[in-house]
Amino acid sequence: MIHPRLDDGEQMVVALQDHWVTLVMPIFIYIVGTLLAVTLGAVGMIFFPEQEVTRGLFILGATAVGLLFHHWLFIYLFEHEISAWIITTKRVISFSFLPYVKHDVSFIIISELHEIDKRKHGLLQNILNYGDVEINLAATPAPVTFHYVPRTSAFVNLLETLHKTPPDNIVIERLRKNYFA
Amino acid sequence: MPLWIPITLAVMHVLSHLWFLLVIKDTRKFVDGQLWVVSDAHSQIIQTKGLMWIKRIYGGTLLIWIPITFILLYS
Repeated sequence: MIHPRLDDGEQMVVALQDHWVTLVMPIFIYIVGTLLAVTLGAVGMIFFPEQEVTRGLFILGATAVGLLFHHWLFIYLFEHEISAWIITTKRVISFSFLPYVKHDVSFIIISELHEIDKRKHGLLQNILNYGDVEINLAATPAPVTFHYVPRTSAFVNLLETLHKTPPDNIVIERLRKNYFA
Repeated sequence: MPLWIPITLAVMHVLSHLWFLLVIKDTRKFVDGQLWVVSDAHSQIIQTKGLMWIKRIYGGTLLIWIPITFILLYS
């Protein structure tokens, strides 16, 4: 396994996770699934109290549904917790993770940035302050897109500042204070 | 109550815990292999604090399911 390291003199500026809005749908689906499981269990208990096999089958069904949605929620909690962007003085390191489905890591060298687009479409994205960031690199024809970036303006401005500032002039504390305080 | 019903329930709980262990194993593999790339305070927070709590709550809530389902079955 290759273990990427930070270069000498490279320092981390900030680490950002996906916006919390990515958890809304898994939580909603979890609530619906749990209600379904409770309903199945309740039907078995209320309508078939004397028929042990039927009641047992309903409880087995309720347990299966409940456990399924329980695992579903926590898989997405893990995804949210681990998927992150780490901005250093030289690179943007993107981690995208979903257990047994996605193990993505990408490195973007800031000095090779060609163009950065910030996209915040719709009422929700502008109220909750998140959006997409599209990065065009000089070396590659296809842009790299980050979705659900929180504080999109600060993210883009920080990259732009790091791109323009010579490495010796970067003051990390000042950058953190200016953009993510 | 026929014996196959509680046995099926027990098997479901065992499979559920096995999946939990597999998810933890895969998560640890990714974190140890990749995320340690930046040994800064921020990444430490990502690696340990949040993940540890999610793991505890995940495992704990799965354990709670066991008595609840068996009590319902035999009530």
